[in-house]
Amino acid sequence: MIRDVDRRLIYALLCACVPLLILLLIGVFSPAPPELVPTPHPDFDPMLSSGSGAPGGPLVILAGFVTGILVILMIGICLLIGVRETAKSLRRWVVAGTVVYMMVFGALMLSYLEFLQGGPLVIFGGLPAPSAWMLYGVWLFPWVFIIAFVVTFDDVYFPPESEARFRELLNAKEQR
Amino acid sequence: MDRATVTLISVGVYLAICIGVGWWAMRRTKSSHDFFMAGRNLGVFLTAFAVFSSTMSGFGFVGGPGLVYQMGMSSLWIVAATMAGPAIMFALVAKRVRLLGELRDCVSLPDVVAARYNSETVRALMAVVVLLGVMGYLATQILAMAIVLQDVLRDANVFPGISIEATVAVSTAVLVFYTVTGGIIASVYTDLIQGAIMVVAAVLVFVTVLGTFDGGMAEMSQVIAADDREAMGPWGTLGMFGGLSWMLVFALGTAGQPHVITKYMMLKNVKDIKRVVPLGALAYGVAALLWIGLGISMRALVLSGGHDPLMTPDAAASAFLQSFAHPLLAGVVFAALLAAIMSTADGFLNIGTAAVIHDFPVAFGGRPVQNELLWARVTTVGIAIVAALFALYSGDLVALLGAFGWGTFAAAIVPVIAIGLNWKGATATAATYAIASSLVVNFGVRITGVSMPYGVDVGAASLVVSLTLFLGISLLSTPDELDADVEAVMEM
Repeated sequence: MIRDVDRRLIYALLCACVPLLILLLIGVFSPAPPELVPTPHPDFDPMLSSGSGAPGGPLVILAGFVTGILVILMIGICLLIGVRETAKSLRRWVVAGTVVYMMVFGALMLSYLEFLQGGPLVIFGGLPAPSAWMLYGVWLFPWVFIIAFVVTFDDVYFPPESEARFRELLNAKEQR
Repeated sequence: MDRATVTLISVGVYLAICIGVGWWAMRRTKSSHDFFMAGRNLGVFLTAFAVFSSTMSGFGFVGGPGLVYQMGMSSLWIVAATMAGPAIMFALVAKRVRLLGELRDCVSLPDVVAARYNSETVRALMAVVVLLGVMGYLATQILAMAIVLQDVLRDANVFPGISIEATVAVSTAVLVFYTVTGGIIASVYTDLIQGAIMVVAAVLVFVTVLGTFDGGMAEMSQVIAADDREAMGPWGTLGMFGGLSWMLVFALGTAGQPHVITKYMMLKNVKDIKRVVPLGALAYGVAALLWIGLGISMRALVLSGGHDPLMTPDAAASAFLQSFAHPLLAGVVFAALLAAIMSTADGFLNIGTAAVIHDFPVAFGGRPVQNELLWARVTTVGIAIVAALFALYSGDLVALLGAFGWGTFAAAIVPVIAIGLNWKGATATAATYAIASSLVVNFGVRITGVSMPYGVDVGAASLVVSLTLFLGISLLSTPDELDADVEAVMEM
């Protein structure tokens, strides 16, 4: 019987939070230049237009990429914290899924870099390619995790031994 | 029959159904356990739609399309987080709150944290967070309900001069009637109806949206990008950090919404979780089509001269319905809009009442009040009246508390519940600091007017701070002694 969550996961979650805090502090002490701040649309206020210098230089884009990877890493670690260590197949599924999820985000960023070059829009599923990666990729990919939990539910998530143990606890409570 | 009359009839029928459900549920509400936990007897569909309807508030149907109109694609990062959220809820929260809820007869989230941490301080702090969030959310939802009702009555020329005070009174009365009489049972049954209306409305609106331009979504994308390429890019006009911070706070934060988590405590059978989570996520995904489609369409229509510019972003949904939707569809969507607002408001009313008559008395007096059911009904009326007055007369304070909602809940509850129910090393001291920091950061930033850098959402910043404090303090302190039954549930 596993007694507690693998402490390395807790350290990993902490290690994902700390760089996000550092990025936040960097942002607080070196605020965005005015050309990155959205402005009222010249003809249709309160609609906003992006700042003239958006999205910013390579450093800003790199920081954005790192932030996105850290966010997905935090999602993956949180999922793993909820999976018992003995549930090897589900853990492998979650780890592999998190890696692929990061790759989907990587594909979004690559597509975005191409989008920034200008030229005709590449449309997929009604949206510009990087936005399509966002909606059809980043939005929908976590179904992989949901399906993994559903498929392994009876064997791993709430197996018969957990159910029996829970009934014992309920019986003990009723007898008190 | 004209559009305004059809809308009025649809809204009237919808409100009558809510009252009918309240009347019916009253006979099934025999104890405070029924009032707060529906007798822990809910099936798959009821729970799934209650989870979905509570999550998709009026913000999703009005604010969401408005944000797309205003900022382009930025706010769709909130949508992008809505499938990761249920996965995290599945992994960390659903099973453990359900099991612990039954084992300890919990009727609220503060009950769960008190059982986990053996601490009345943590219970009291959690109850404070819940109550503050409830007052803010409820006041904004009541105001939104009243504005919608006022628009509907004016358009139909029924009571063209009706005041906002009057529509606040009418809409609050309906909400109070079914939540007071039927408690959470009425709430979840109306959630089922409300959720079904939202899903149907979203699909029909999305189909209508696709027909507004000959080239469908592709042409809308071209129109928006021709005006401002970034607006149609993945980050919209807000930029990368704004979008990603929304993704963080809405993905992880789903597991920190008290009105959603408590629905899992009401499930009849633990094994139903495997159907409830996917069904709820699917319903949310379908309903989000309205947010995505309507927002993009209105921005493209205004830019191409197909519609007059909007005075406020929040007018996007109603403007689209007035101009492009079949009158019957407009009627259904207006009813869906009220449904989205009310389904969130009733959940908040219920957990706010639990905080007042159950959690505070237990935290400070050691036991719940006598005759909880009677006091639950009285308190529900009281909270609704205070929230309605708050909505009408508190000025900026209601906006402050309304903005307080999701991010503060996420920062206060995700570490303490989602991580704390899975990690035995989490301590009561760490939970206290995490909850306190969520209040300090969220209120501090909003009261002082500090602007977050690069469009970062304050709720996301608050979540990262509270999570860091929670993990760091727990790692540095000696683990608390856990009760045997709580420890057993954490090992399942």
